[in-house]
Amino acid sequence: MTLWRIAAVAAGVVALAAFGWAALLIFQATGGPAITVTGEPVPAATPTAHINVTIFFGASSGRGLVASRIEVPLEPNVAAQGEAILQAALGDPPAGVLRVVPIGTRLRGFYVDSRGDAFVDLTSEVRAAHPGGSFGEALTVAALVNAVTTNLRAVRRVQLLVEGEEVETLAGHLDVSQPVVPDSSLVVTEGGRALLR
Amino acid sequence: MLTTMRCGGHGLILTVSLVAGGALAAPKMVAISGQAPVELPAAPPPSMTVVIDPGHGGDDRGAVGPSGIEEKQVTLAVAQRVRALATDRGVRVLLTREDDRQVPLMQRAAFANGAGAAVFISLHANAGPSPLSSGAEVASFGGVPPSAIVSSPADDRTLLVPLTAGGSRRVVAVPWELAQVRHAEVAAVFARQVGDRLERVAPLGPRAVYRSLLRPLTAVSLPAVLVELGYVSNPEEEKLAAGDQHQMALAQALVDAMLAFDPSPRQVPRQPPRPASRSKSR
Repeated sequence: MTLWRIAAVAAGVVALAAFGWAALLIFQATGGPAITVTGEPVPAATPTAHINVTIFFGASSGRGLVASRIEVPLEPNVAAQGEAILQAALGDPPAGVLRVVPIGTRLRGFYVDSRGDAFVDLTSEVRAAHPGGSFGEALTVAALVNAVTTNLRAVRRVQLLVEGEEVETLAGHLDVSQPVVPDSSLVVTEGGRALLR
Repeated sequence: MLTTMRCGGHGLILTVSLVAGGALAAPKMVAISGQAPVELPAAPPPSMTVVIDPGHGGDDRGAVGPSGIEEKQVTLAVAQRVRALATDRGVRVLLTREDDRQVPLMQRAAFANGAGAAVFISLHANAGPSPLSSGAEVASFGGVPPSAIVSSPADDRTLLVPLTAGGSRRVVAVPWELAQVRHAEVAAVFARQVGDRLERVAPLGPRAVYRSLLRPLTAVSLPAVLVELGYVSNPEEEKLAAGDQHQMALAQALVDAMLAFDPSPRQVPRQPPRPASRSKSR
């Protein structure tokens, strides 16, 4: 009899443990608070809202820039949103279009002044790794400037900085020593329609 | 002759009008071994002076083609061919660099401003992210001017500069960044002429003849254009750009354009007269 009681209690404990584990898994899967290895609860990850922005990449035809629609996180202010947009512009291009910002270029900072001028501070790779050519340079500048001004209505002009400093040019041709206005003349359509993704 | 200097920190070009020098027309004296010097017939005075700026140089290779042809090599080779061809036609050609060295853009502009030249041609070879990009292009200053680029005579400052012989001379100080603005319309006409000539020997590229805020032209105080001779990023054009025949054809087209160029203002198309302004007050 005693053995039967011990076995019944043990079975009950195992069943409770299994129920608790299953409940925990279900809770986590449905968005409940995560449990750390140490058992301390951490704040729940709130679902992040996203927006579609227009980013510019090189046309495979070699005739200019094409616009691509890319999803980026929705940020609470202009500066943070600008950073998210530029991270997308510096990232890998979608299939079928070409990179126009030198690989390895990273964003050091982004801010907007009271006059509507945005400042995009890039790492030195944007110059050192630039393949050159006035056309390639124009595409680089326009891709960055247009990405900011197209998606952030508050921005009218963009000043490019390299390692925190003003530069004359990125590759020896286009003057970027002053804030640059967007240039839509380099945006082309391919196959008779704009490449919007 | 025009004398140009840069005032450190102030970004000004001082333009002083002096008498045109006659040294260029002086007869050449040559001495053959063991004989008295012989006076050669004087060459006709050059009809015009042109500054050719071979882009990039030294550590700055510019664009590099898929088989390794460098922009700086192409620009210097074509510049030397232009000089050879133009000199035969009575044009004095000065290069901003004679060999493979790096020359800052502002130093190139200062050189041109002091040369008393009719036009400035900056030579480049293009590149783009696609190997399909092709064609020659010609650019002049302008395009999308930011509000900072607004030139008017009011931007100039008149200064009295003391002369070593005594007295002083009145000179006009032009803001360094605005030097090309006043020549932009004439330069645009010249750019179209260069484009027309180039099109006879090479197809024109995506932008053909266009205007843009180009740093090599900004501080040049005479009509200036930037010529992209073709795309070295395009394998076929890279091969062409390295070839003697194509380089000669490009150089000849440039010489033909400079000989046909008349920098007088009548070549510049006039803007249609503005209608009389009406008061907006209601």
